[in-house]
Amino acid sequence: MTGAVVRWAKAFGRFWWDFLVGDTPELFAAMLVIVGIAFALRHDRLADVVALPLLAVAALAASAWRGRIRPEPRPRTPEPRPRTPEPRPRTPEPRSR
Amino acid sequence: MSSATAILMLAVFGACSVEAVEALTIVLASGTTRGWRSAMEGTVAALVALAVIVGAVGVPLVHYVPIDALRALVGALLLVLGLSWLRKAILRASGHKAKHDEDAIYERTAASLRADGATRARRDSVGFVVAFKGVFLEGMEVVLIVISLGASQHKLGDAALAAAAAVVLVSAVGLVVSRQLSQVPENTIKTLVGVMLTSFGLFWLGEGAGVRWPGSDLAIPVLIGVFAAVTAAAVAVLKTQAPASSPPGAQLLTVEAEALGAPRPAETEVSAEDRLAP
Repeated sequence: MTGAVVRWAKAFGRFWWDFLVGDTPELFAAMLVIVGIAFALRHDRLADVVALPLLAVAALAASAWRGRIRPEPRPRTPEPRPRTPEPRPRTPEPRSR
Repeated sequence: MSSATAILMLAVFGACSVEAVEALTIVLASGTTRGWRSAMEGTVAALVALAVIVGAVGVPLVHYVPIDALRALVGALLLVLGLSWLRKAILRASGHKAKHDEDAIYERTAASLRADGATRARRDSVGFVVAFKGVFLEGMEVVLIVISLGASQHKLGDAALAAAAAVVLVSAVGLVVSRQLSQVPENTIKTLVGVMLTSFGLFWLGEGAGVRWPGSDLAIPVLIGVFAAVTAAAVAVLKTQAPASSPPGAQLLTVEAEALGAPRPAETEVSAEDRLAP
């Protein structure tokens, strides 16, 4: 019984986590910021009316930009390797007598 | 009927249509491979469960929660939901994300069900479970939208009516054409609904917080215009960055395949976002 309740609670929590946060935590964070701004600026009508849509638009644009497929960096053309000098024939060290 | 109510019903109708098309695909795959009786029973059971949730959660919300708190909460919920729908629609329209392919989903679900063993029994538990889970999971998001939009405007009945109309329409068309509705412009509908959800969400959030929008309800069409323009611009910009090859995730995997315990192709990435994909 307890196990079933725990499983259900976990599934319920996971559903809401996926639903609200999922792969786009930036949108969830933006929503929290927008809620905060809405309550903070509620007495300043103009600021609120302008700020809320602007924040939502910025969040959407940033999230879509983040979700785009980034082009793979072009492979660099290998620079010509410096020619290694021919190994000089080692001169035998003078034997110490 | 006020313009806000009309937009509300349109938003619920559109959202529900998208989800109904996806659910219909699963039900058809279940019905054709495991028998129609079990598929229909699973569908009806899921619809009843969803209706019970709307009644059990929605009605107390409307009657007992203060309207401003309800609007702020619902607005925040709709805002995050609408933004994520819009984001996905923008990425799909600009070629950065694979589009939903009902034909592929149908084929995969049907193949999984056929591979699962005996078919066309009079009562088939697998067919029932697949149809139930498909309809229930696809319907949950609609339930949240119906409750959110309906409760915040005290129009729960109208919102439920719009949702029911969408289910009936999609089911009727599905029965007439007898196949999954792969020709439905799903991404376009999703874009429009995303714009509406975001606009409603921001509006109700503001109202709940004490913001007085200029023109009151007339601010909603203005917000819709703003978000529609931003979406169009974002699609245009991102199209210039679209990759030449097909985007990742082109191989679709859906909740119904997971529900069956079907093996997931190694190269397929399924995000939580896709699991709740509208």
